[in-house]
Amino acid sequence: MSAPASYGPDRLSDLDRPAAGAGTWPLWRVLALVVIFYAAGASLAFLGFGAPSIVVLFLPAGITLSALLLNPRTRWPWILLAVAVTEVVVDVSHGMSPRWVWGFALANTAEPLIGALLLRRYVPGDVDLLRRDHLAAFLACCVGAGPAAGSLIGATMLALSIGLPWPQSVVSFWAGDATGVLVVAGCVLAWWHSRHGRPVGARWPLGMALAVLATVAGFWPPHVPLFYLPIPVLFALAFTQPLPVTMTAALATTVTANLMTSTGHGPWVSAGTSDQWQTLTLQVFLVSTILGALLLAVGVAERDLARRDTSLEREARLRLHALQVLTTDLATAATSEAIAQAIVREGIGLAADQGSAAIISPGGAGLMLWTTGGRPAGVPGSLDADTPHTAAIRLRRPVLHQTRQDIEAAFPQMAPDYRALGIHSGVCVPIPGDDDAPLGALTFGFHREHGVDADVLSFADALASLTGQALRRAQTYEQEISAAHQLQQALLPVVAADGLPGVRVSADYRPADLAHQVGGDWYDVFALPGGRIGFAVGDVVGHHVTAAAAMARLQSALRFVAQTARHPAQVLDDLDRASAVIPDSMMATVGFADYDPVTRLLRFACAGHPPPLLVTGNDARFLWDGRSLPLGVGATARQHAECVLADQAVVVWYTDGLVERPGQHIAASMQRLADAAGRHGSGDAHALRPHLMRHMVGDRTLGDDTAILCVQFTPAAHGG
Amino acid sequence: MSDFQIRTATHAGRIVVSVAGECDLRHRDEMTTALEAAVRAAPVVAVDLGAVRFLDSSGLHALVSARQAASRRDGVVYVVNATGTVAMVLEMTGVLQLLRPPA
Repeated sequence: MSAPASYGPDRLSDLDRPAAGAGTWPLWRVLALVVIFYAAGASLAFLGFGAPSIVVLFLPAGITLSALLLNPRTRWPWILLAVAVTEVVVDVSHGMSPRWVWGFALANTAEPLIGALLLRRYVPGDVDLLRRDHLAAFLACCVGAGPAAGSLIGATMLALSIGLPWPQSVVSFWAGDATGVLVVAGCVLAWWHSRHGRPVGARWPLGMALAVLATVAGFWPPHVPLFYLPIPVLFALAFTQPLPVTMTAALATTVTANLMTSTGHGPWVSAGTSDQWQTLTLQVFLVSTILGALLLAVGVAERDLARRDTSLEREARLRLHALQVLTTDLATAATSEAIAQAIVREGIGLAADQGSAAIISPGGAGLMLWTTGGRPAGVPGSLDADTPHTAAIRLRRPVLHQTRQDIEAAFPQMAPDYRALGIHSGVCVPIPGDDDAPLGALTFGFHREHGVDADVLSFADALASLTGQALRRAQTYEQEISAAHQLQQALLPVVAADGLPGVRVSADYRPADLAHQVGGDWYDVFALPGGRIGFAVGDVVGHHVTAAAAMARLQSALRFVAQTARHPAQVLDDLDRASAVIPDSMMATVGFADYDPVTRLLRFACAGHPPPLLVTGNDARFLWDGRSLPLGVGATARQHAECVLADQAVVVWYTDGLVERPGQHIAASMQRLADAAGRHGSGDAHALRPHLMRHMVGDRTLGDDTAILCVQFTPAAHGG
Repeated sequence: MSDFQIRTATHAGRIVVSVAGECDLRHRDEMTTALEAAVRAAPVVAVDLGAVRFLDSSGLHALVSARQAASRRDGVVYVVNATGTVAMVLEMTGVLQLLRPPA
């Protein structure tokens, strides 16, 4: 067996295709059946029902009609010819004059032909007697019109041959043939249609036996009217059982009632009217009872259908709602991982018992796998392994297995896992990528066999394309974010820790975890003329590459203007002017300070930036002086402040991500920062920085970029 | 999800823009659009920050942009009811002095 063939059918239509059945029977078989049943029915009419009356139940009428309806028109001539020959043979063998039998042969072929032709005008395909329109057409064309035509011909023959009164014969023939068509063709059509309807089950003979019993009981005593006993049986069957059971019971009741009557039992025999009236009214009783049962069955079927529609509708509504929740979650999921998690958490369970999402890792080397159970599955994370995921990705189409045997044959090495998970059927669909190459695959597993139907497949397809869209968006986003981060990291100064005399520097930069919040935070430490050291912290409003670019320009501008400016306030002033030509720099905040190791003088200025924290020993306080507006806001008087620092003092400068977060007062956060710094003390900047980061950020998800810079002022050993 | 809301009410000669929720990058465009529309519609725009729980640099950016747009048309934008962390952020960045109510 070739590998692709073992991965199940290509299309769902392969699943739906009906099994080959009676429709493909060879013609000889059809003809043989028609001849046998026709001869039997016709003989029964002569022997069983017919002796005393011409109003006989004529079951063969239904047999011919059924044969025509279940076979293509090309076979009709053969069927009709077989019927005509059989009719002639039976008639002649029962002593009818050969002179007239051709007339009955004509009547008994014209009748089903007319009925079938008319019915096919209105119902071209399968006849479903539980549909009002189909039932009405069947009754009008096959039970009404066909037998009417047949009885006209038959009555004419009878009038010509033995001189029986014509109108009486027409009514009698019609009643017998119509009843035969109703019970036999009704029964055959019901069974035929049940191929794709409600399953009949094995207990249908019970219903038939019950009907026979009720009929026998009802027709046994001649003077006690119990003939109605079959009615509740038929109605009860119509109410609770599939149509074939009801129709089989109707056929049994009809045959039994006619046999009972013709053998001298039942109320009709004792009615004291002519034989013809007896049998005529008997057929009328039977037909009206069966019609009542049929109408009841139609009503029940319509009710069930409406109920199923309602429950399907509710299910669809619930599923739609769940899909909306999922779509919202997918829209906010920024990473492949978040998308895969949303899919296994909220998506797969909508259609299947369990499942998984496999996504090809960015390099294309392996697969990352998430399962609905949240536990690791036995699927190797390699694209070379033979799993449903890799098969669906390789074949670029759904991989479908409806039985456990199928699955295990296709993926023998996965068999233990499937057994452990209780998977009996499933489908794996590729997640479509931009060009044809799939981004991964989704599996939908079922605890039963044949769990994958058309609904599941279309849902799986929809979910896969939804996942594909989200993944493509996220991957573009991830690339952009990662480019922004790389640019930012590349632009941040490699602070030569302790490389400058008189200071020890420790710095950290953490990008936001929520990708859409990536900002333009930066810090810098550099040497200035006269042995001074300048350091700066800044924050550009905005996100992604534009913010990183603005940050880079501001940073180099600041380094440049700081070389010539006389003091920090002037640095910020110059930078403000420079920023006029830097896009996206409006409202950027900057803190700048310079430090002279010889005099230990620190001068600092904040353009809208949070104040630096000065840690001296165990004392920590914010330097609230030297404040002015952010960059790009308009003419403003810049100012700076200054203080003389103790040995080993540390200035902690940071961006707002460290202290600002929703739900917390910034003053409280800043106090927490100061407390933590004070407790730790200014002993070692290299230890203080991670301590503060841990204390302020910890495992918290960062909503904003966060930069922190600790500058420790060491004795000017080399400064002289 | 965030409960960010922005509403504009017109009074005689001025517009009051009431902001609620978290003013961060996610809502910067929405806030900028509403404020700029207000600035175009009236010479005096008051921004009520009473129901704002969080204001970051994006929110500040939107406020200052609106103020600059107003200045170009000789208009005024000011904030009222800033409390707690919002007031402190406005003060710390110096933006509060730009957006003080006219005397």
